[in-house]
Amino acid sequence: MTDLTPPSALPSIGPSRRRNGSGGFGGGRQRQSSQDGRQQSSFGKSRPSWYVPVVSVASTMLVVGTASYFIWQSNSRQLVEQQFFNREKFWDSFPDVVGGFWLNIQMFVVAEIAILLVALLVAVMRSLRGPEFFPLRVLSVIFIDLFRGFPLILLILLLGFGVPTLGISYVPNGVLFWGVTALVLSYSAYTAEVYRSGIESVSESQRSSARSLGLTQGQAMRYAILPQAVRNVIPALLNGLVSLQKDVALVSVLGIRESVREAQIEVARSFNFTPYMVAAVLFLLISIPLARLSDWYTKRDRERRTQTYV
Amino acid sequence: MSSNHGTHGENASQEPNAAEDANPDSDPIAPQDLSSPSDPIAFQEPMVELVSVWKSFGDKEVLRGLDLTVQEGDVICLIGASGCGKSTLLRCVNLLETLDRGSIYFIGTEIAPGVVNDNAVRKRMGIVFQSLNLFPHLNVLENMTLGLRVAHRISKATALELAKEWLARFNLSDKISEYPERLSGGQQQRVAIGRAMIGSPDLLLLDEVTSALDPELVGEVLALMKELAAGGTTMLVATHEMGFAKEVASRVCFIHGGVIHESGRPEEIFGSPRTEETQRFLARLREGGRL
Repeated sequence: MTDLTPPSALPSIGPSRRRNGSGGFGGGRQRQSSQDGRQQSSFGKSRPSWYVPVVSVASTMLVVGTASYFIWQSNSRQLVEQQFFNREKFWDSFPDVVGGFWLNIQMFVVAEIAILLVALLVAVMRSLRGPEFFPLRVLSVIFIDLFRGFPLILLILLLGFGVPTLGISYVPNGVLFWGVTALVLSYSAYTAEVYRSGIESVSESQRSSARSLGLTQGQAMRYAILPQAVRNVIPALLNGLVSLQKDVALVSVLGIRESVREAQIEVARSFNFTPYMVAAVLFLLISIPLARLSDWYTKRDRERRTQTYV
Repeated sequence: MSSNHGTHGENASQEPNAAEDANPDSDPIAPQDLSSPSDPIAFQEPMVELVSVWKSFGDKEVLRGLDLTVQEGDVICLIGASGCGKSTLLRCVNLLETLDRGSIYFIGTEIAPGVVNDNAVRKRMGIVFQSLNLFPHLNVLENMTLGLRVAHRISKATALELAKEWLARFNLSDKISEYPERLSGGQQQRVAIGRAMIGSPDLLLLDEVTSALDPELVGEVLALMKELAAGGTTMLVATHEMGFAKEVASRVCFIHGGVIHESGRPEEIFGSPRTEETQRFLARLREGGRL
């Protein structure tokens, strides 16, 4: 954590530099010389095989090296290390922040499940056809417009602090419950639109086919349209998942002691920002794998789609 | 063309045609039918009857008072230029479109979306479209049995048995657990036809089922259609395959101007078309090498 400095980066790049015998920008000049005899093409010079690896390594070295140099040279490096990467503070605050992070994960999982279900319901309501479903369509449009229109933080404050003061007996009055509900409402509005784009991406002839088999509108949706629609939007849903994983931290404004709040308490006590870094690391530990999962699935999905018919 | 012209064309056909007789609301021996050479002994309730059907999409009037009668066992081929309304007609019969005016009778009952139980009507018809018929997320067996299981509420075992029977008949037994993307276009269309037939429909609607196929795959689908026709399946077929129409159709209907402009036996339509428009349409097909 504390060691983001060039000495660790250089050795790994070094060997390839030596192997190619021409460091940095030498590649460009060498390409222009005719010593590799590759210039017979009428399109001019073709790139030798070492061009891509050498250029990518050289450009990476340049960028990483420059950035590291300036950080290393900086007068305030000691101060930055002290304030943000303080090893002692890191381990001091670690248990509390991790404890809070467990709550983040719980909120994240519960909210995500609720979002996927609520959003699906809203999207299906919005996609129903026929005059008898007009009220449902209107309701779903109002829901989406409303909860997508609010800033999420405002919604969290409004519901989290507001609703419990009403003291309604037949709903939970916990701040945590309403904070998560605000997340669910806001994200459901976005996710419903994701689902809807998926539903609309399924060709009309699929609906006709299902209806022509005698399936009702609901059955056609359930058995023919939705399975394809959901598959089409899984990359977009995964993207929402990554986003939600971070946004659960917003309920900290309600005083809920999740990881960011715990870190904030530690920071306030010691006036050292390392606890925030603890929380940041914990979030990255979840969000980076999720992002890679999303990339992997999207890539696989694209490959599957571009397969040609037999 | 006016709708009168179209009606005239239909009445002038040599078939024992009980079109007007069968309208359940009218007297079976109404005077206006005297011109029709219908034989009272051959009277039979039509499978489908379209009476003055109008349908427009926006400003475009596709069907302009079209009349058509389909008897049980008929194989009726609808021909005409692209966009003439062949597909619209089939979609109207399957209640996938709402009529602007006119009525459609199916085995004596007037049908219209929302007025009758759409699904009850559709369960007794099968329809196959030009392309993208199969559900890509379901394998062949699941595609075949979805309608049976969900709409007809037939047990899994019975549905499986029926599906196996039909797939064997269509030489597709080895494809039972394949997904559509692993099948050729011709195989896909054969599965789609099988899926339409598996519920034992009274009427099979085929909407240019071969036009999206590569030329070498058309044959297998046409052969299947011929087999079904020979087996007595009542079929209403929109097609560009004039060879099929010539060979298999009991009646060919040329749609032009939103009505059935001329209809008759294949040899009449292709051999001695009476109207100029039909002649021109056939001449264009000959130029294109499609006839």
